[in-house]
Amino acid sequence: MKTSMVAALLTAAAALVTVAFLARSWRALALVVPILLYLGIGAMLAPQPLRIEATRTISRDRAAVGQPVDVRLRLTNRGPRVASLEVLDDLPEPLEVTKGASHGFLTLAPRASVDLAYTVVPRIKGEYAIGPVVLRAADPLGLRYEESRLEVEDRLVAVPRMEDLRRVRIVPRRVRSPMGSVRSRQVGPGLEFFSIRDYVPGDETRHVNWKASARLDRLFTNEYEAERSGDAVIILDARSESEVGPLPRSTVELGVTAAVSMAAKILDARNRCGLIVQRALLDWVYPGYGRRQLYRIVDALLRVRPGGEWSLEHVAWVFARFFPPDAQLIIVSPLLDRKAVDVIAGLRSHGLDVLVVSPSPIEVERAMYGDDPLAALAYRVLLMERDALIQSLRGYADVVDWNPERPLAVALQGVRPYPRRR
Amino acid sequence: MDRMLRFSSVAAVVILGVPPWIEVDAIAHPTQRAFASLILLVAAAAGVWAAVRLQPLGARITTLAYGASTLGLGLFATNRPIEHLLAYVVALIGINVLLYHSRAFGPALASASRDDATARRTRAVILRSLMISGGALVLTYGGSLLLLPAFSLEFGVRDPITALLLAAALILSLLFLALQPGGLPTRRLGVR
Repeated sequence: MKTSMVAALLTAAAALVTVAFLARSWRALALVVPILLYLGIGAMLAPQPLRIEATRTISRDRAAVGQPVDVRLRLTNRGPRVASLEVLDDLPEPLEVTKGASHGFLTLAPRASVDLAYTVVPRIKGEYAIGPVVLRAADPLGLRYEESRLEVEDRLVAVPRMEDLRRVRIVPRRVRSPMGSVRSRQVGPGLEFFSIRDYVPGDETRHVNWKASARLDRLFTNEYEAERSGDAVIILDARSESEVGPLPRSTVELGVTAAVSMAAKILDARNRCGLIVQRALLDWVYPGYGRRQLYRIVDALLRVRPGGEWSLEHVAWVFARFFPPDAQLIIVSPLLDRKAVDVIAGLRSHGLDVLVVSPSPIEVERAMYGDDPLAALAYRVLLMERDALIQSLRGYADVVDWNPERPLAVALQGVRPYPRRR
Repeated sequence: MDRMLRFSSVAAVVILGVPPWIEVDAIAHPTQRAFASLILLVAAAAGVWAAVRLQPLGARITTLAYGASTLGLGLFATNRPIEHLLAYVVALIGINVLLYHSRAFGPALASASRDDATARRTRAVILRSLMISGGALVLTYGGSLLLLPAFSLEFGVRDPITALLLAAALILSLLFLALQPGGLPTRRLGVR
């Protein structure tokens, strides 16, 4: 194919020819010669159609945000020699190249292979396609080029970053009959000592408290605190109005991080965990157990993009109709909606236990603006407003005000593991 | 290397602005001279903008203004030697080629800042391309000088209507060549 320079040169030549003939000047016509010579040399150096094959290998197809992934693109020439080949392995914007380059120029001899190796780091969660490969061979004079697009695509799933919550207790407040690891404050099968009672025939010998029996001269049996499982449902507020700050440190992205970290923690303790995402659509994952459920939740969170103008009331409506009524409710929201207090009070009036984890939008904005005296004053005013909102919410729910500059585990340290007094 | 290419493009735009300035300075009428100078100034600004923002199409305005001033006045007013005018035509082609290279190679050079195999290969290919372009321009000028005697003979049509028709026929054939085959590139690699 020809570039725009060919058209420009031919137009210039045409203009000179017109002037030469109109002015009857052979000197003007002589000026066409270099243009035609240049075009002639360009025609001799024109690239041949490309016959190149590409194969790509990636070190992993599922990586956490911030985790490096090695990519190796192998190009094999099945045609004549290509003196100047431009290669672009098309990458989505959130994949940042940290080592090597996905774009370069190279020379390919016939039947030769060349590797283009680079490392990408996903900066935002999501499912990405690496490719296609775009090849362009151009002549050095900028007159002609051959382009080829190889549809070689690989998928890379960037799962949200997870916070380390090993030292944090997030337990559902109400338990169900299946075995789990939540202490139920009821007698039953478990590991923690609960009380002692008189032995009755049928009690297991290994549960007999021999010391007490010897001291009081009759048999006693140990009772244990039953360990059961509970349900928790995480509600992620991903509405447009809840998005503050640039990616990847926006409040919605931070909310995704908090939601996936807490879901992993809850499921790890053999509880059921569900998810409702409030965005342009209402996505939900019904509570379930185990690692597979964690993958379901992660897959649902991968698609989260801010959107929608729904009120939180709709989520309460969905929760009341489709989810277990005794589930622990964890709302992850920056609390930019003034009606949130009313909705949470309403949920509380229905007897639900609510935990609110709120990534602070004020801290996110403060990190954006740096040291500005006006911003500092605005920060103090906004902080007072937010404190007042959180204090009013604390009458109905446990509220965790999460400063994203600190680990989530630190913010969750203050959460009480047992139900609120009614 | 990316910055060097850009700097060379800007320098070429500024340096090639000198000959048209000399030609325009020879215009006797002050208003006409001022008007022509203004046009040249605008064209130079457009050229610098095109070189900095890597927009080769923007340099067409500069090429047109520089070429019209230098060649037009050089041919018919100041009667400059034909060798000088040929050199100026080659230089105008050169500036467009330089801008084309600057745009084509810029993103790859920017991403090849590290010293790895890909970066080394990229730099080698780009350097070779620039050298071939330079060689082609030298060859073009040399070839033009060699062919110059063929244009020193004064012959041809003298009737203006016939000359116009002949020119139109030549232009049409050149335009036909320009449109065959394929089209113009619409996208630049390395830009998302």
